[in-house]
Amino acid sequence: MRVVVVEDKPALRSYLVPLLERDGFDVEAFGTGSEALAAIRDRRPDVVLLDVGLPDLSGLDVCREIRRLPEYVPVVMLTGLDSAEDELRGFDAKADDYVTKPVVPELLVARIRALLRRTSAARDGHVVALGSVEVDLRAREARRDGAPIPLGAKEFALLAFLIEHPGQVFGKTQLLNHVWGPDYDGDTHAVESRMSRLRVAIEDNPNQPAHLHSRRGVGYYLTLEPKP
Amino acid sequence: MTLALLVTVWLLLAAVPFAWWLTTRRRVDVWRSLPVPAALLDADRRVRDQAGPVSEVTFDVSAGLPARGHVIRGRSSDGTPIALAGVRGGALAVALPRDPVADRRDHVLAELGSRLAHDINTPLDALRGHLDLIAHEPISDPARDSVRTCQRELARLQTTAQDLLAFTRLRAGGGRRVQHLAGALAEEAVAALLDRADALGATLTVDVPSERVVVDVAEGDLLRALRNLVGNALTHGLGERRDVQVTVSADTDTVTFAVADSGPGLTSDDLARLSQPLVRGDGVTTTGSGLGLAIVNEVLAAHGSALDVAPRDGGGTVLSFVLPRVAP
Repeated sequence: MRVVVVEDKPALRSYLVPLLERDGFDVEAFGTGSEALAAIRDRRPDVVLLDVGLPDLSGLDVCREIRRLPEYVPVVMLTGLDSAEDELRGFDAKADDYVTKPVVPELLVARIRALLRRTSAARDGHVVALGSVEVDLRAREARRDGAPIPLGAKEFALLAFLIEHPGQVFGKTQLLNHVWGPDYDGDTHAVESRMSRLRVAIEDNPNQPAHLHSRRGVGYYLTLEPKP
Repeated sequence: MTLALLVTVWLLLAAVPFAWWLTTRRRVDVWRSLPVPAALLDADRRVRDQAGPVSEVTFDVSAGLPARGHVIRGRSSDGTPIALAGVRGGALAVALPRDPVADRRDHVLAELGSRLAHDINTPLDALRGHLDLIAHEPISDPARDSVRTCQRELARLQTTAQDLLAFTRLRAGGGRRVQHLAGALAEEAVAALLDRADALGATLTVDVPSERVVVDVAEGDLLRALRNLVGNALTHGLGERRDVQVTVSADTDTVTFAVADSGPGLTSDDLARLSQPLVRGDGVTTTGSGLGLAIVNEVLAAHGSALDVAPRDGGGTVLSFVLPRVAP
């Protein structure tokens, strides 16, 4: 996996590069937006780690240029706490993920990995295995022993969202917000009923789920590896 | 003539107690006289007023209007401290003028804090990253111990720098308001602290309305305030029961966010003291920047709200605040 790091501060660049190399990435690093853009156009990396504040172009401008490329290149934006949130929110060219400094090394690597999983799933029809069930995120289909499992659109969307955020606990309202959308006028029972149907469909034993877990008093989370 | 003289004397005499009350609390401008008392009270027994130089002030008068010489403190949406003062025959809402010395001090602190936070964040970030690289190298056990100590201390410094920057940003005006599902905010704040709760052996739960409840908030700021409240409860309020519960409840007009802990209990005086910037809880020397509750107060003031403290049934403290509910 090739990653381009765009960070103007040498003290930060000099640890981001070995940090990502340690995790098996092939890393190229640049201190200015224009140098980075030339390399990105030329060599199409798998992901770009982009600081929002650069000396020549702003990180937002670089992101916009990357979005104009014919091929989709995922971008993780490194933002400071003092970055103007309005500016980021209102900006037309969205990054795929935002990581706020100070960077927690393991977290940064995990977020880049998660993004790559998402984008490669969208691009290459990535199939995720949950025990004996295969979830094809591109075909939006779950299969057991090759036979499709009948799932409603929202059930699949809920499953796909949890697969994209393995191990992360979400409350019912958060899931409603992310999967049904912030304008959905129903209540959180929709999440509960979809979740129990998903368990029946996906789990070998829905009463003792191995992948679709409840966190008591908080919400739900998914593990890719079976967890008793 | 005599009658006029008598009336004047009577008025002067009547003014003395109030003038005394005013002068003992620095100079106080009478901001707006409110009619008393029934017309003030809405169904929640809160005094509201939406006119005058501030956009909205809410006082909690659930225990009745203040007695003469007593005050209930409130805060306007622009941060002006407001008091509801008990006077003969009712109450007056008064705006306490900002103290110029304190204002100047706040301004200098804000400038200094912002500069400091900017200038030290990047080096701290670099130090943390490079320490992480060293920690992954084959080094001796004493060297590894030293690196771990450095990482721990650095994490503290980073927390302080972030809190300082957040505080100074809030002083300069908070983030942009957006409509957001109230329950999702509370759930996100709780989810962010689950690992910490697990490490402390604490039960952290969240209870939100199943119906759609929307608030108009600066999302990042409100999340920070909620995380600070839950984080404080985990750090200082676990007690023996080790139980922290976050609740969001709503009626037709308002949404209440509450964080209940199982600690030794806080009084409103404790809360007022701990809400001052850089004041930490008694005996707390290990963690925190001393800005946690001050940040919460800044965020809530920017939303026209304020923190309320009440005992929790069965022991502990409930810290809560109320926001207007966006009409469905």
